Amino acid sequence: MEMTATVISDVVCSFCGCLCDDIEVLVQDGKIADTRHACILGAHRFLNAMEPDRIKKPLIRVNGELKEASLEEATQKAAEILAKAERPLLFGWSTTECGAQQVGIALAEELGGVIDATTSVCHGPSVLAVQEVGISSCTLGDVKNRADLVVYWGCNPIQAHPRHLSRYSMCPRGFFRERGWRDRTLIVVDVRRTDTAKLATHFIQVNPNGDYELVNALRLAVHGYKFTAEKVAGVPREEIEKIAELMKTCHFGVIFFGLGVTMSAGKNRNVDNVISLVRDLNAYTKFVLIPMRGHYNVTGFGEVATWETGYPFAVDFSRGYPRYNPGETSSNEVLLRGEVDAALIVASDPTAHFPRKAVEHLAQVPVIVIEPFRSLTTELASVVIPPAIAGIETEGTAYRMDHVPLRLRKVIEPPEGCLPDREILGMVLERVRKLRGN
Amino acid sequence: MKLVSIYKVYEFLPKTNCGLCGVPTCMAFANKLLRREAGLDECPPLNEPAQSKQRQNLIELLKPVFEAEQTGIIVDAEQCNGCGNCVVICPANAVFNLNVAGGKGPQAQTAVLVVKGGRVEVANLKECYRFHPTTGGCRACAESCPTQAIKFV
Repeated sequence: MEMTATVISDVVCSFCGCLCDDIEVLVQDGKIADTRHACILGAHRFLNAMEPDRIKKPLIRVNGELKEASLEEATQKAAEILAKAERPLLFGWSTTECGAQQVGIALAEELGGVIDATTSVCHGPSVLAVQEVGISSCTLGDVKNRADLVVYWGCNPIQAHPRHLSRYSMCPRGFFRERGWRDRTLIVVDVRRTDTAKLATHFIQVNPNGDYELVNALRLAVHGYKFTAEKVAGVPREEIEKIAELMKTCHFGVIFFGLGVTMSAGKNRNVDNVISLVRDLNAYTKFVLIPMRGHYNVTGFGEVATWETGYPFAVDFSRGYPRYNPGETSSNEVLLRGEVDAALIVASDPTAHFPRKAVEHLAQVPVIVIEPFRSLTTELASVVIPPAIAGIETEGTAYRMDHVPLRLRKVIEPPEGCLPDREILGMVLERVRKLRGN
Repeated sequence: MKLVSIYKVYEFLPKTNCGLCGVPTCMAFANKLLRREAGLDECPPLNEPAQSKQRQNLIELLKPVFEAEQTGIIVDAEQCNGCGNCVVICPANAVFNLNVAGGKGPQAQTAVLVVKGGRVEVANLKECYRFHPTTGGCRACAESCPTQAIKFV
């Protein structure tokens, strides 16, 4: 066979919430041979699309073992399981494109099930806080062109979003920040000296679970109140006053916050407080905040679910209309209460990330997994349907962490018979409707 | 290639800071050795028979340094995570590629540093300001590296 090499440019990386859109992919003989500009995480996603853990054929569990089956058999089996279920859980959705999420919501409505994204175990508290107090935010382009004070709070982008500093926040020369890094100040607040903290102009080491206290102290300092405590959450008073002054006197400040804020003690109250700090700072200067969303299209699920149902995650259709009450209708809670009697997991691996009790219940019920790679969840699945990978083998739309939608590109053909998530879900939905006589 | 640590070199030197080599301390001499500005013969105490074992160890240790064909930037592939800070911050990269100044990956063939396969590679050392006769001394890439993966030899 003749070897052909093509370079496809301006490919959007479908790994983390940065959605870097300048990737060059070298395709040789129908396979991805190399990438340029993608970080180690993005490159891994592109270069390991086919091997080593790729599932290429649908699998159905027969007598305790996963056996290869046709797509028709697998979708029929999935539809039968879901149509029979009284309280199915449809979970995942963060690493697939918006079209699939839309069909997923239609399927949840048809089944009267609970649909939830990984948001409920990462930035769910941010969403709750935003619903309570609102948010002052902007796009990453604004950050690039304007920000002269960048704060990373409870996140380590060098490891989780490697190109975040070089693409958007610190390194680029922006319209008003012509010297790039030299025109900006970097503050990192974290419980340990991370790789991001090593680059910081000011590193604030806060005690674990001390974020709420520290934000309160910063708000006091911003308003000019003097407090007597020598240290707050492990941070000396002078340091807090210095940081408050830096925040007040910058031209355009931005706080990027991660799970260190959302998932430590206080949860949505922490985020609520950080948003309030930003609101207070806007009395003195321009300040915004942006959550560091992890999976590449977890923001997209929030968007799709909101325009389809009115709610961003943890949506329960059991009463025939969408209902939203995180803590009651979120995936972990329905699993921990033992309500779920079947689960559809799309583009996610809850077995690896959920609490043991929730996973124990998941292991007792039939699980359908739509996922291109072997994972802990596929190991306990009754049906596994491998799709084409969005952003590599099929097109689609994804939302960057700052809510900017970008069109994912197709660079190679999927393995034979692997359809996009949205088409597989469409087949399941059609079969469910047929089984229910609708 | 594994980088030779200055502390390893120092360990095998006499550590007397005698100054006979022309620099005041053994650590400074270790630095000169690594920069290939001095040879082992310039340390008289090291040439005494009692130090022959130490000298032999140093010859082994410094073999890759003296065998290197040219000076340049070494990126430790095990440390690098392809964050691209160095690519964007590199003044030479930004001069040749307006894309880079805005945070994107370089398109032009003249780029000094490029991320390939998830790791930074030195693509065009001759454009690097550090090794340019008129604009020497730039350390921007190494200073912006969060994992200390960039070193100069």
